[in-house]
Amino acid sequence: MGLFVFHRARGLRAARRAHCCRAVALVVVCLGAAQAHAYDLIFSSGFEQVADAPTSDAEAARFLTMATFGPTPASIAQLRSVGYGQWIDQQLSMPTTPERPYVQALDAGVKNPGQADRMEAWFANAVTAPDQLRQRAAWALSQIMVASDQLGNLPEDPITLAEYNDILARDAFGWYDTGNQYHAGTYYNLLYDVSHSPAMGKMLTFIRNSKPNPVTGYSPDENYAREVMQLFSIGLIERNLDFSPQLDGGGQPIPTYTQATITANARVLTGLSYQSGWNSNPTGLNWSAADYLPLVCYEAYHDEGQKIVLDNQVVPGGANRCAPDIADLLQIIASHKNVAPFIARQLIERFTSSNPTPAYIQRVAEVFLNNGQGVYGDLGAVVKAVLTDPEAAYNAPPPPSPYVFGKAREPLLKLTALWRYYAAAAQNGLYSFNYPQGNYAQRPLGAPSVFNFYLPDYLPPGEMAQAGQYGPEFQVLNESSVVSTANDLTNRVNAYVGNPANTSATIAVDLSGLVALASNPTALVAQLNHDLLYGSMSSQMNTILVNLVTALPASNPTARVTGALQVLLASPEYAIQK
Amino acid sequence: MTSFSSSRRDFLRKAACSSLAAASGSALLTQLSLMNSALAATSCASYPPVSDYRALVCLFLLGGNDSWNLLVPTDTARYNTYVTSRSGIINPAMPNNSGMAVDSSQLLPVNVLNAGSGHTYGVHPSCPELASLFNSGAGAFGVNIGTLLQPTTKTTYGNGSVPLPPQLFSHADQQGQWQYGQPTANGSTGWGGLMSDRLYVLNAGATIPMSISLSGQNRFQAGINVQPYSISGAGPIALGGYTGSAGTAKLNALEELLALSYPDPLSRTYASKVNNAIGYYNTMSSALAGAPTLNTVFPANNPVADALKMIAKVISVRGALQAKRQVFFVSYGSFDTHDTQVVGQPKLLSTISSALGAFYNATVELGVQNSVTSFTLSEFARTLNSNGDGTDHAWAGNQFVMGGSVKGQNIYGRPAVSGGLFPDQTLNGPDCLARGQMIPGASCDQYSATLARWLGLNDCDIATIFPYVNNFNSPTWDLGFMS
Repeated sequence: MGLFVFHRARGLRAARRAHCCRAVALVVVCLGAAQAHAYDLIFSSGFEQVADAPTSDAEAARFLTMATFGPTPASIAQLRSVGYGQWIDQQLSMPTTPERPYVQALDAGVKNPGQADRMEAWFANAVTAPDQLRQRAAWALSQIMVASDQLGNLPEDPITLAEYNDILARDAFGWYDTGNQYHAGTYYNLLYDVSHSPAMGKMLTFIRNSKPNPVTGYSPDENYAREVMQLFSIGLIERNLDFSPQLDGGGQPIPTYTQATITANARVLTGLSYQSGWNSNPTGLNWSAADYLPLVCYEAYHDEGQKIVLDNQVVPGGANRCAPDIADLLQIIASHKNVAPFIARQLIERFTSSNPTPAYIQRVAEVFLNNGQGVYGDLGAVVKAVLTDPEAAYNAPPPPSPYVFGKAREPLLKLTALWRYYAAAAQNGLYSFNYPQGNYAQRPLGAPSVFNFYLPDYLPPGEMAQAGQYGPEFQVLNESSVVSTANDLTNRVNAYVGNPANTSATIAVDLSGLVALASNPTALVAQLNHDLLYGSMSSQMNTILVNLVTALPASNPTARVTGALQVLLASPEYAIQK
Repeated sequence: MTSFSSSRRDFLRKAACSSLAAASGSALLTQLSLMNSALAATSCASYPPVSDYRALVCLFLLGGNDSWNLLVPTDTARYNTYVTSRSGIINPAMPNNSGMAVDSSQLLPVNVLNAGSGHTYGVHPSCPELASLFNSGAGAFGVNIGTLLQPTTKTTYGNGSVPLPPQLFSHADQQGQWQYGQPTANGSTGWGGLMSDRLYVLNAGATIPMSISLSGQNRFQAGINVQPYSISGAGPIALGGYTGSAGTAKLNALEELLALSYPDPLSRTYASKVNNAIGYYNTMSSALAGAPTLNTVFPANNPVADALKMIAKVISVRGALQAKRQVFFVSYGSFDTHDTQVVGQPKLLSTISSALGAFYNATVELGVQNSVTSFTLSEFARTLNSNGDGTDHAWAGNQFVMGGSVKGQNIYGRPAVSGGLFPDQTLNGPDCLARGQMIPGASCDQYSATLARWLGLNDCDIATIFPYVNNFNSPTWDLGFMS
């Protein structure tokens, strides 16, 4: 793979950037501008030799497909300049581009904010935020610790959900608070913050959960008590470090807990409500900051009795023990030996591969246990281990069957990859896309249930199920969704900069660099391969697309580009990243 | 590209890809006949051609429907027990601090022909259509049904003397077991799919699968060879942007890409999905173009009604589709009412009741009410007692089955320890645990196998697909609700 020329309509982009800086996404876009400046410097001084630098654009773009919402000319150049290690470390230390202030700014004075504003914030970050790895990690974590605006009372609550996304982004790699105090990006801190977020309190109904009431006969709510273990931390059965199930003497998997554990957890998880008062409702027309600030303990509603929880560990109870009881429980869960392989495996699935070898999972899980400096659950180190594992490396030998490296691109990430490479932006500076689930079967913080859009153990019926091969994303790929996704991508491609049908809100892709190549079908397809398929296009696909471009009238170069893009974006080779 | 082994599975897969890439019915027939020969070894029965039409429509209530509020005992003694166990009657003024029992004055009376002496029942006030269907003889309830490996009592549950289904009370696992036909932890197929693997031969000449999903991928319809075809409530979706001469060139290019041999299973699996989308769309859309006008009014703003209306349309063109046996799937929820149950449950139940009522009317309009049986599934029912504003995961519950071939106006199940089909709802009584988690009388596999037998699945194949159902064979596993 040779070097490709980056075709950029720099003037247009600069104008758009200036326009954006007047809009609400001030921080985002101006940081983006600073980064573009760095990119220019790199180009003026040429590539420097770095030991772990990708040796080609293809290698860099492949990595960025796994680690970000899609490669861009600038990110490819930067990664090639600084190498994997430095690129990741820079990303880990980059501050969070938050969603909540964006949503609040849009909603200032409205008092009745909408989820559309949150969608806009999410897409703006996915396409333009410099902290791509952090944002991508938040996206991955949002599919493990699922909160959704499709459920419960959360449809009315975009600000608390925006804050929830910010919690995931901050805790993924650590952060400095306004007092310049550092909060480490550890699994325990993440679990603690999630377990005190109003978003999760509403999602899994532990907000205002009360101790047993002998008069009414009410029992504590068992919802979070169960799912925090089943889905967020340890899973249903005991695991080895490589995620293989531990078996009992009869060859059967060993359950991690019983119903009694759930009942005890439920008793621990009593007493939490909004900062504005146990019975307050700081949302909607009463909106206040308590809507998104961490839940606090109300001792009168906390079960003071002793609780026997996971692995017969004791949460002591007693007077004024609400907060320490809950912290104890979360520490017990976070310390369970299953957490490392359970989280490692799901992060591998989200970033790189649906069918990792047990050895790959174990290598990542070992980093979870100890980041090299004795820290347990360092999520930044874990993500780095996921991305830099030999099994995920460029040109790594394929793992033995039935393991197979690669994954179906998440439908929504098909769109963000297109948007990022071709610098998609709207004249009004916004990324308005209110209903992504209609065509992509995914919505940021908008899964149909706490079980996410798909299950980590989903076996696609047919060949893969029979071979025991997982494919989580295939759970949302059916005859309806593959067509509606392809159709929307076609529409997005046709919303190219300069299309007279565009409105000021149209998120337009800049295809000018491709259009300049349209008279040369071979060059055009090679550029598409570089931009969207990280140079991995098969020779057969190349031939088919070159023939297609050749068959489309040369008199309409834009139609040649959009036609080739439309087919590429629906193709199997774009659908599967590997 | 590397070449592949020539195993039967690959052979079938390639046949499927090549035939559908051509988007031609005759090629698909080749695929189906290949599958037929491959399946001879797995089906222990033969299925001679049939002339009649039958369809099963599965409505899965995701999240665990609190069906102890769907069918409620209304005679004084049992109603009082129900109220006590549900932590009191619903307090609409304080939905976040409320018991869960429906007020007796609101329950819709149903005349249960096989009710015990002195026993009366009512249906949730949000379900007038279900009550009416029941009273007219077109509806029945399966009661106290859950996942089981063998007959289980509270005593044998407690002392560990019987094997139990793995991961009781877990959504995903219990959903899987209800859809699978056996209470085991692993696997990817469902009884609807395994049944379709065997029965699709009855749809000679058909060019779309026997299973049609209105809710995307689901375990119920996943077979070894026959997989569901997913359409939306608005019907099949056309691939856009492929019209005109340029469109033809683009479609040709896309179909060439889909027909390539890919070295990895993920690419192949995706390619076959898109292939199917294109091929099945042509069949389904041309059939639906000839659909008769459906005059039955379906409720608006109701996704279940949208889905069932589309199913009615597909059934109306069964001749054009050459379908003799079909299996449909719709899922809806969340029924996981850990909180706001007082507000949420009426909406949920109203949605399904009004949709099912309209769907039954549509089958009458189409003259197929005796050929179409609809039924609910849900992974579990919920605790009887309140957690303050909702209920938590439990075990056995009630299901509704509907159609002209249903022996309606009765309740069906296996007797509970307390003696009747309908269990004793006393908390920690003979039939349930401390929070009112009911021990099932009948297994969900009995319920499912009864439906499968009606569709035409041979008892020999039933024993394969529902390997535990014969544990309930005294006197018979068949719950008897189908005529």
